[in-house]
Amino acid sequence: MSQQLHLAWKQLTFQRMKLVAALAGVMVAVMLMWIQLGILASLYNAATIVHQNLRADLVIVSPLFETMNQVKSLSTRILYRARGCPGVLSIGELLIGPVEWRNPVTGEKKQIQVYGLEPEEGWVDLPGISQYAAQLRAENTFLFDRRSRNVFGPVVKAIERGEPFHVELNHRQMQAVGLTSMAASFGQQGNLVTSRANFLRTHPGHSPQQVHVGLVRTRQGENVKSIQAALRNTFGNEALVMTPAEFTEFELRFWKTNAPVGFIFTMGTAVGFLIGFIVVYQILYADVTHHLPYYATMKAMGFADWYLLLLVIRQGLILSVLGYIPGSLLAIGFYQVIQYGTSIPVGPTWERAGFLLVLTILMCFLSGVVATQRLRSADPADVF
Amino acid sequence: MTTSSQPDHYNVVVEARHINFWFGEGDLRKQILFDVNLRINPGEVVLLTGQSGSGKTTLLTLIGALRTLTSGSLIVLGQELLQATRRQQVSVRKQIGFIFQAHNLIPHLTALENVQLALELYPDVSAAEGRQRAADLLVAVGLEHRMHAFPAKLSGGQKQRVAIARAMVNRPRLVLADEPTSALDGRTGREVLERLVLLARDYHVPILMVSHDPRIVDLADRNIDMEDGSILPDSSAMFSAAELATEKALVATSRP
Ligand SMILES: Nc1ncnc2c1ncn2[C@@H]1O[C@H](COP(=O)(O)OP(=O)(O)OP(=O)(O)O)[C@@H](O)[C@H]1O
Ligand SMILES: [Mg+2]
Repeated sequence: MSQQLHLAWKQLTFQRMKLVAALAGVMVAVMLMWIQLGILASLYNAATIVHQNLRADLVIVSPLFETMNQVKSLSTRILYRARGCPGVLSIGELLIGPVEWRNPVTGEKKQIQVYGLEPEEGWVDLPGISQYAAQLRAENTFLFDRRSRNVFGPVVKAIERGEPFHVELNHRQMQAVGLTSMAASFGQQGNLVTSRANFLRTHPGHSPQQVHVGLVRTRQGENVKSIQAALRNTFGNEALVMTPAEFTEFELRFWKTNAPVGFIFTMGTAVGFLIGFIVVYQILYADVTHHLPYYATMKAMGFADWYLLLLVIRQGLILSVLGYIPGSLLAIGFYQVIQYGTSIPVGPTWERAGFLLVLTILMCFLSGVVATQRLRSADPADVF
Repeated sequence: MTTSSQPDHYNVVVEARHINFWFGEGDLRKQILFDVNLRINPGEVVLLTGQSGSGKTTLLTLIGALRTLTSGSLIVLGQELLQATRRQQVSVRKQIGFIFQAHNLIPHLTALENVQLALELYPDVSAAEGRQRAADLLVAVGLEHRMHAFPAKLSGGQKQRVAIARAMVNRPRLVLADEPTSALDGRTGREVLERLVLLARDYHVPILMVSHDPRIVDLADRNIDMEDGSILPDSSAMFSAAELATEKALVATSRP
């Protein structure tokens, strides 16, 4: 198809208002898809932030364990048995459980998730933990997640000023000595990290003989997979043994099957796609209808059907690219708004940008293809 | 026929034999063309006249491969159109310059671009050459000052002249025109047609032109008259002007 005349471009830009309407449709669709996919990805990311930052070779949890949001305990005896296995270097504990946080300014009570671990053992690589290890050793201290929702009082401000922040946790006077960075997620509005000992202080009901996530480090040069197999063999159905990557997948699978978020946001994306498809289709269809006599004339001149088909589809493709760029920029702006409003970190990724570009092109391509149905009624015999 | 007509016979532009044509299906089926025979020779300007509804446009769309022929034989530019494939139809169309009653110019292209559009059919014509050819033709139809105007800014006569340039730019081997000037007043119409005929004679392109206007008969080599789907017996459908003259002479000399 020779394109010396840029016919598709000229046809598209001849009526400015129509072009603007079409572009607005594509932009809205692109934005919607960005936002839906972005929120979904960030929710999944927030739900697995600890999993992703585990510095362990293997993870052991109770067979009843489903999600970190609602942990099931495992006897420490299992961990001691694991330590006895050949190839295992050391074991660690992660304790997880909510406490009641009393906002010292408003007096309001909020639930917050507590992660208890031995801070100098480096099991979880989140900001501040090793840096504040010494302070966390002290009684009644903790690190506050700066990405917690904004309902816990002026913690971050106080700490950034260099002042400790005093707060009542489960009726116990505690002190935030530093900040870490995790994320608010499905179940939790906020998080804090403390030592194992402090966790036990704030959770008097929790037995020290129980852990929530057991952590295993293997000796250098050992084959993790074979140790995992050995541990699985040893524990049978007393415990689940996973690599951190498997553990992350495990958590994701829980949310994907038990929470409607995946469905909701996938539907949202589909709705965005549909909106874009319909708008572009409507506009191309109306355009073909409006230009029917000219298409018939072109057929009479000897233009083959595929040439006219490409002419319409090409318009769809131009619309997709022209709408994608501003739509994406707007969406990235919206990401900031969402992050500010919900403390859920939403960031654009190149991967998503590529995926959405493909989706947008597909959307407009399909619109074009369906709109070309109208071309059939361009009968060259009608032009005389 | 005389031997001198033999070469003509081998490169006739249009040769129609026993064309019958119907519109509609079943009970509504209505015959529009009745045993039409017609020939157009190279370089001829042929006028097709007849009352409204006599089937002129129908015949033209058949010759232009815009409609599918169902009976008889119709050879246009060497291609038999009875049972021609879609591809063959398109290839015949590409060799014909059409001029329609409505100008049918593309509104979002300038006069020059509208003429160039026809050249998109030939990707091997370079942009520069296409532009030059289109511009030359617009000059030939007297539109050198309006080349970059959009159709909406042109008068009816100017638009029709652009349409003529568009029909000619591909160096067609046949021009089919259906009342190209019916939307124009008499004087403008005649001017436009004169340009068309002049151009066609320059390029040695045959024209089959439908017109109601009796005042333009003198522009054509011959006149074919239709009535109710048939070609009138006394019209010179099958003969070139030269043959006709010989025939008349023969008839005259044979008279006592
Ligand atoms: N698409 C069609 N379907 C059915 N009948 C048609 C169709 N087109 C034309 N006809 C009929 O065929 C007959 C011939 O029409 P045609 O358009 O060929 O006449 P014409 O000689 O060009 O007339 P005019 O001078 O008014 O343009 C008319 O009776 C018309 O009603
Ligand atoms: Mg007609």
